[in-house]
Amino acid sequence: MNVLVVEDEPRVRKSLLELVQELGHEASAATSVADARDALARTAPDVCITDLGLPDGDGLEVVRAAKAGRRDCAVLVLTGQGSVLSAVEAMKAGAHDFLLKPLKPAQLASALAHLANRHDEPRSDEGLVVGDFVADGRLGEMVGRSPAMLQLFRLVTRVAPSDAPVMITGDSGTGKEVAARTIHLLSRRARGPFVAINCGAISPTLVESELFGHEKGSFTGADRRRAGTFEMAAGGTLFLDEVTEMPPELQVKFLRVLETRTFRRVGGNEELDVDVRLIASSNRDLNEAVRTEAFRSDLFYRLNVFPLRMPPLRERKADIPALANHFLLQIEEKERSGFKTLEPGALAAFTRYDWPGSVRELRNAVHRAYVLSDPPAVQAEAAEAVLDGSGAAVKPVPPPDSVDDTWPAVPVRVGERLDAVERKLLTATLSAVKGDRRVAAELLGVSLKTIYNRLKQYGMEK
Amino acid sequence: MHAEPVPSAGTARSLLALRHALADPLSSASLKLDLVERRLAATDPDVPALLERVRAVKHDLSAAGHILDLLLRLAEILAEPPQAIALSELCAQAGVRPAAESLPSTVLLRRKATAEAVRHVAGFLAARTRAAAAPLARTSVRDGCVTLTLEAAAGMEPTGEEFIPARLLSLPPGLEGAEGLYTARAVLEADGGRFDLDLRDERLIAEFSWTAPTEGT
Repeated sequence: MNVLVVEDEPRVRKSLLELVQELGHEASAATSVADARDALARTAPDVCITDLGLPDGDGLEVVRAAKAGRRDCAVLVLTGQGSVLSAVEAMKAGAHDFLLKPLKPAQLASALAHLANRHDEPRSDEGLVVGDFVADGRLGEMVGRSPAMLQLFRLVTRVAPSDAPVMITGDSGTGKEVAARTIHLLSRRARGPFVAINCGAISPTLVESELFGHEKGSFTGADRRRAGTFEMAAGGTLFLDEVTEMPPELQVKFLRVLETRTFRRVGGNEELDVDVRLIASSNRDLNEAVRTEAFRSDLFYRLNVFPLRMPPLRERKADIPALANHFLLQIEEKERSGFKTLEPGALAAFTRYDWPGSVRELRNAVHRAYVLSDPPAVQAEAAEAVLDGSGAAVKPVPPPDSVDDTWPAVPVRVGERLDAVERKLLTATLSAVKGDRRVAAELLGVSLKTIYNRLKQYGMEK
Repeated sequence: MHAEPVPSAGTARSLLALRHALADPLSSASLKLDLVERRLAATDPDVPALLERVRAVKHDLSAAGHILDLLLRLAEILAEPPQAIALSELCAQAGVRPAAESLPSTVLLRRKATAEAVRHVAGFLAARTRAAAAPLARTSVRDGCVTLTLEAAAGMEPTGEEFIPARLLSLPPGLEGAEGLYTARAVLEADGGRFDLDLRDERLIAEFSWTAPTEGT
């Protein structure tokens, strides 16, 4: 690669040039913003490494000039003051990544190696790769053709190739993790791991060990070395789900890791480099969380470099048929009951509903309607049965593993024939739900057709 | 006993400038050393002793860079303006619950940094007991000082013979959580307060104290 180093401090500049050349790249240097503009025009580098503080201006000007001259020029920003806001501004201006001084050569080498991999990939242009994913109203694992989703697809394809942190907001069930996985799939880290953690669900006493790992003997019970989340996600993407629920003490530690790009295992002395792309999500109003100090503003600025908002399903009802069919295919692939489509009446019923639980609720509703229907199509009556008359979610049937203890038990003896047991259970269940076969099917976790077949088999038809 | 609060936005800027000035030569040294290591490893793999030394110096430089990052934290602390806050509110924000009802006393301090310091110290004390139990908290007014005391639960993890709590506040190398104790002391002293860590009856005791407000303040 052709690398331009923009640094006013002569010793750092010289050392950077030598290291870049040692790593097998061509390197040239500039000492100021004006000098950098000339060099950018003259050499059109693949990579520009620039300090933020330059004698005649701001390194951000170099970032903008580099991106204006050659859109695919990757810019690495160096900063000595650790200013969160200036680093975030640099990312927003198009910088690929930033490194905090004192520089860690391994981090710089790793960043250049990533860029070199991207540079060597045989692709004719970025749009071609993205175009493949956008086909058929889908982008990676995301589904939709509504204007809101097409706009989201554009933003996702724009941010995916960079390493910029992404903050995904949206109501519960809108598909924030799906969007995060899609960004990962479209990024050059796609071959690396995608690791998701729910920030509100980590035990406070194990927080450090979970994230950073621990050395053998570092605390009672640490009988061997264990890798933490940052190590597990190395080379890939770390998804911080419900990031505003992160405990305050963890927010502090996280911020330090983001600032220094290094961490230590609990009980360890070795500094390990962080090589992850961060994507965070929240269903809360982030500005409110910052205002009430539930979430640190400096961490917010670090993570909110590229914000994405997931539209709720009620704002993109045009996508409901495509989504319902997508879920049906997914369910059919697992259960293989012979379903091929949804009746138009079922789609109409789903489209009329407002979906307060968004896409996740739709998926559950399709699954329930699937269970209540006979193949090959999910029937309109099944969809109507799932969505009750008032528009509230679904029939108030307890899931099979939480059946009311007050319901009658069915006595079964060891060695009793299975068909006899099944008959007893079917009879008792139908009796408990006053003969409603759809509800019985849902409770027993089988299709309505299976219920009819068993009634016929046991001579229980009326 | 207590120093005057430090007016410090300017000090914060000075610390950042100092950090910036130190970062450049450390960067240069790290980059040069990395080059030396690469060339040694490539050209003469039979000099492991020399490579070992280079790697040891790299490790020392890395440790120096890590400590330098504490200047960022100090600058953040100093950049926060002090404000009057009730001790009960501070405790609530730090996630500690005093055993008795907290004193209504109002103290002038850096709210965010202090809450963070108290939270860190509470976590440090808990981590040093076998059951990771939360420390007992209590507030008091004595000798013209408002004090928040955190007392670790019984069942302290075994420590070496040289365990001297006060030394933990001076950045001893290799102790997990000691940087947080160092910054806790910095926060308290920036507000004219005091932070002490002591070992009594095999329990760690942390005391945060500030000058009690005078009448009418």
